[in-house]
Amino acid sequence: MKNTIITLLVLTFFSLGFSQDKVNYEEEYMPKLQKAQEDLARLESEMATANSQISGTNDQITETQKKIDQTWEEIYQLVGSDKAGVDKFGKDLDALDGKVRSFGALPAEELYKRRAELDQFEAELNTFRTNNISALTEYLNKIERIDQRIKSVRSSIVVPYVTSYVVKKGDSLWKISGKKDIYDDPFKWTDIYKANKETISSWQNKYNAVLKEGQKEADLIYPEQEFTIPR
Amino acid sequence: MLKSIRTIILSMIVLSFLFAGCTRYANEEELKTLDDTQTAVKKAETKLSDLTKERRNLVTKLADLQTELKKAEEEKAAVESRLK
Repeated sequence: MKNTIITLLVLTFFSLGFSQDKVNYEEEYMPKLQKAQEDLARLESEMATANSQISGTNDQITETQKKIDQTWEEIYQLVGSDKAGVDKFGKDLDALDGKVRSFGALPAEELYKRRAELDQFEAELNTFRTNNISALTEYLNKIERIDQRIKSVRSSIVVPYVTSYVVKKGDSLWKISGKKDIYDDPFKWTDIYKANKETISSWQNKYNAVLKEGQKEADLIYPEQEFTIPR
Repeated sequence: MLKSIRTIILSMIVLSFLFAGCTRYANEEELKTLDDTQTAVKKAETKLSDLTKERRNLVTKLADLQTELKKAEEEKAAVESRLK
C-alpha cells in the first residue's frame, strides 16, 4: 500500500510538472491570441490610413510640381524664350563673368595696357541687359555683380609707377613731364631737369666738344639718355 | 489515524489528477496560429513604421515644392513688373 501511494505521488508530480510546459487554453492562449488579433487589426487599419495618406500626398506632389512647371513656362513666355534659351543666356553670362574675373587678376601693368578691354566687357554686359531674360531675378543680380566687378577692376587700374625714362627722338623735358605715366603735368619738367642736371650737362659737354663756337648748345637732351624720374 | 491520513493523501492524488485532466491546453495547431498571428503583428509594425517614414519624407518634399511654387509665382510677378 505504501509503495502504491509513493508511486501515485510521483506520477502526480510528474503530471503537474508536464502540465506547466503546456499553454493553458483559457488563461494564457486565448488572451494572447485575442491581443495579437486586436493588434493586427489595429495595425492593418493604421496601414490602410497611412497608405491612403501617402497616396494623397503623392497626388499633391504631382499637382504642385505641375503648377511649378506651368509657372516657369509662363515666365519663359514672358521673357520671350524657353528653358534652353534661358540656360544659354545664363551660360554666356557666366562666361563673361569668368572673363572679367580673369582680367581682374592680371598684373597692374598688364591691366593698364589692356584697360580698353573693360569697355568691351561693359558693352557685352549692356547687350545682356537688353535681353528680356535679364528680367529674371537670378540674372538681374548676376548682371549687377558683373557690373560691380568691372567697376572695381576699372578703379583698381593705376598709372604704372615709372622711375626712369629713356629719351626718344622728338622728346623734350616738357613732353616727357606731360606723359600720363610720368607726371601728366608738363609744368613739372623742372623736377626732371633738377634730378638729371649732371647727365644733361655731361652729354652736352660731350657734344659741345665736337661743335664749333657758335654751334654750342646748352641744356639740350638727346635720344638714349636715361633720366631718373623723381617721385 | 493512519487510515484517515491515507484517505486524505489518496483524495489529494485523485483530485490532482482530476484537476490536471479537466484543464484544456492549446494544441499544436492553435499554438501555430498564435505564433503566426504574433509574427504578422511584428511584420505589420515594421511595415507601418516604414510607411510612417515614407509619409514624413513625402510631406517634407511637398512642403519644399510648395515653397518652390511660391517662389516661382513671386518670380513671375517680379518679371511681369520689370518688363512693364
